[in-house]
Amino acid sequence: MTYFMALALALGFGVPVAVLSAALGQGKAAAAALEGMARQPEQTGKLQTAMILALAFIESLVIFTLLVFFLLNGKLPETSAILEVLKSAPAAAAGGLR
Amino acid sequence: MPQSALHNLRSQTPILLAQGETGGAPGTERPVAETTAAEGHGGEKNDVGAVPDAALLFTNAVMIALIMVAFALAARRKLEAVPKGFQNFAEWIAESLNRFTVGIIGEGGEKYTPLVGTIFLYIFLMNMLSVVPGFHAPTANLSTTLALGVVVFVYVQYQGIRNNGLGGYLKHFVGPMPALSPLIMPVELISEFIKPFTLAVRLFGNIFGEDVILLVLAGLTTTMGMSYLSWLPIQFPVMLLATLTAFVQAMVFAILTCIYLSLMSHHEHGEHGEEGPIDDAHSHATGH
Repeated sequence: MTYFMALALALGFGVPVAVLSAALGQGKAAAAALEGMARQPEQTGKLQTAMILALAFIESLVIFTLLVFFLLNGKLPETSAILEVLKSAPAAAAGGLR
Repeated sequence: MPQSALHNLRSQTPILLAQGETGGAPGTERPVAETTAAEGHGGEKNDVGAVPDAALLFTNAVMIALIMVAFALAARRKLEAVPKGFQNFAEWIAESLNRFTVGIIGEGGEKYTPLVGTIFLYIFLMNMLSVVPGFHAPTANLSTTLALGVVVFVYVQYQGIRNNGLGGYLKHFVGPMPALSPLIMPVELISEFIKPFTLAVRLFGNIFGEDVILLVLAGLTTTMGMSYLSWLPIQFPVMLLATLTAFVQAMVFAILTCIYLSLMSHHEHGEHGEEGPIDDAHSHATGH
C-alpha cells in the first residue's frame, strides 16, 4: 500500500515540477527574444525563428517527463481493484494503511 | 451515469485512441486501453478504439510517402523554364527548403538539402495526419520516430567519416586536449549516441500528447454525461494548435539534423573561418 501511495505521489509531482522549471526557462527565452526584437526590429525574422526553436527544445524536456508519467501510470492499479481489496479485507487493508 | 463514466476515465491510463475521431462523434465512451504509451501497440486488451495496430500506422506512413512521390512526379511533368501553377508551387517548396538548409549549415549545405527537405516534409505530413479526421498519425508511435532518428544518426556518422576520414572522425571524440581525453571521451560518446533517442522521444512525445489531448476533448461531453452535446466539435481549436505543433516539431527535427551535420564537418568551417581574419591581419601588416 505504501508502494502505491508513494507511486501515486511521485506521479502527481513529476509533470508539475517539470512544467514549473520549463515555464521559467521559456519565460527567460521569450523575454530575451522580445528585447532583441525591440532593439532591432529589422532582425525580427531571425529572432523569431530562434525563439521558437528555443521554446521547442525546452518544451521537449517536459515531454520527456510526460513520457515517464505515462510509463508509471501503467503500473498503478485501477481504482476498482483497490476498492475491491479494501472491501474484501478491511482489517488487513486498514492495518496496511497505517 | 456520469459519475461512473468519469470514474472510468480517470482510473485508467488515458490512452484512448480512435480511428475516426471526427468532430464530436458519438460513441467516444470507449473503454480505455490498459496499456502504457510504450507498449500495447498491437491494440490488444481493448476491443473498440484501441491504440491502432503498428500495421495500420505503417500503412499510413507508406501512404504519405506515396503521396509525396506522386506530388513530385506530377510537378515534373512538362517542365518549363518559367514555371507557373503547380510547378511554381513545387519549386517554391524546394527553394525554401534549400535556403533553410544552407542557412544553417553554411556554404556546403546544398548536398544535404535532399535529406533534410525530405525529412521535414515527411514528418510534417505525418504529423498533420493526426488532425485529419479518420486517421492516426504514424509519428504518435515510438517505432516510427525511432526509425527516423536512426536514419539521421547513421547518415550523420557516415557524413562524418566521409568528410573527415576515419582518423579525423575518431579524433573528434577525443576533444580539444588529448590529456583530458579519458574524461571527455565518455561524455562525447554518450552525447553522440543519445542523439537519435532524444530526436525520437521529442517528436513522439509532442505528437502523442497532442493526440491524447484531441481525444480527451473529443470525448469530453460524453464523459461529463452530456452526450446530447457530443456533436459539438470542441476539439477544433486544439486541432489548430496541433497544426502548429506539427509544423514546429518537423522544423525542430530538421534543424537538429542540420546542426548535427554541421557539427560533424565543423573542422572545415573552422579552418575557413580562422583563415579569414588571420589573412587579413597579415595582409594589413605586410602590405602596409
